[in-house]
Amino acid sequence: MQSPEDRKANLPAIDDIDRIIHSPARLIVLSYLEVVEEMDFIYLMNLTELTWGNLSVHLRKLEEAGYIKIEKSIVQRKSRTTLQITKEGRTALQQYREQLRPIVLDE
Amino acid sequence: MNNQSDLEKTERKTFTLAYRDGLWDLAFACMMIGHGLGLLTDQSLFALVILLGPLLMILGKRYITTPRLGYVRFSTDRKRKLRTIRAITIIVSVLVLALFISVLTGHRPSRALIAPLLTAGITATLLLVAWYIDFKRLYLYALLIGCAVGLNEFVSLQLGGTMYLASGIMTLSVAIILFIRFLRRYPVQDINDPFQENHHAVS
Repeated sequence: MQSPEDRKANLPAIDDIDRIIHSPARLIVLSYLEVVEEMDFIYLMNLTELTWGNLSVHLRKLEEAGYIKIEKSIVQRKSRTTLQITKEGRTALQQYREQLRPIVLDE
Repeated sequence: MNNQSDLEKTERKTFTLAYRDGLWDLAFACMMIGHGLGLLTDQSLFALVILLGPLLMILGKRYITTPRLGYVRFSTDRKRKLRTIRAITIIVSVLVLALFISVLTGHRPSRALIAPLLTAGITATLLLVAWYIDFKRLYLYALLIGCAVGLNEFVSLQLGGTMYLASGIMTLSVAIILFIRFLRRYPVQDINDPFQENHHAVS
């Protein structure tokens, strides 16, 4: 086990942590999108149990950061908003996990 | 923190959301009730009830579940698993249906050969499917169906038929409860384009 001084020295700077991902809702959204090829807005809303207004704001932020891709289409005369995690999103999520690991675990 | 385990849990939760509508339960209930009625009344017409289950499930998924639950395309691994299960299910269903019809029309294969094979085969296949698709209630249905097949093959047709029917009614009750809960919890979502309107502020 490391001493508190060693741990402190080995911790990544908190400022380096990705603030876009460092929000419970956005982290959950990215985690769900990471394990599927794609899903639509309704499925994600049901999974996360966020309200549609809340979820759409988080999705917009993730899209602006380039972490997800949002596509709109018409299926059986209804609009469908399909969401996909991008390569950048996967990398950022993996990097976030790695940055967080020394903070939450005694490594 | 175990990344792989967390990913698997998340993927499983994403996938198992689709079982909340009770339509899989309904398909199994129809299968059990159809078998039960067929065995008890000696009428091959009840084979149609068995086919009604998958038909209701396909239509229900398309016209009831998807508009409420939404659409998802799973990862390649999950799709491969589903393809395997679909193939196993189709093969086993065709074999069981063929055997069922052959019994009702009086062309029954040797009991000593078919009884243990059928009981073990059907139970093992259903348990395997339950494990493969993370469908926990199917473990119970597999055991109920296994008991019904065993009673039918080793004890009597009447007892097997009664077991099928009782299990089917129980499964149907579960399906109806799940379906009603699903309809209440997941109303039809008219808006699938959340970016057309103004949003509330997010803290």
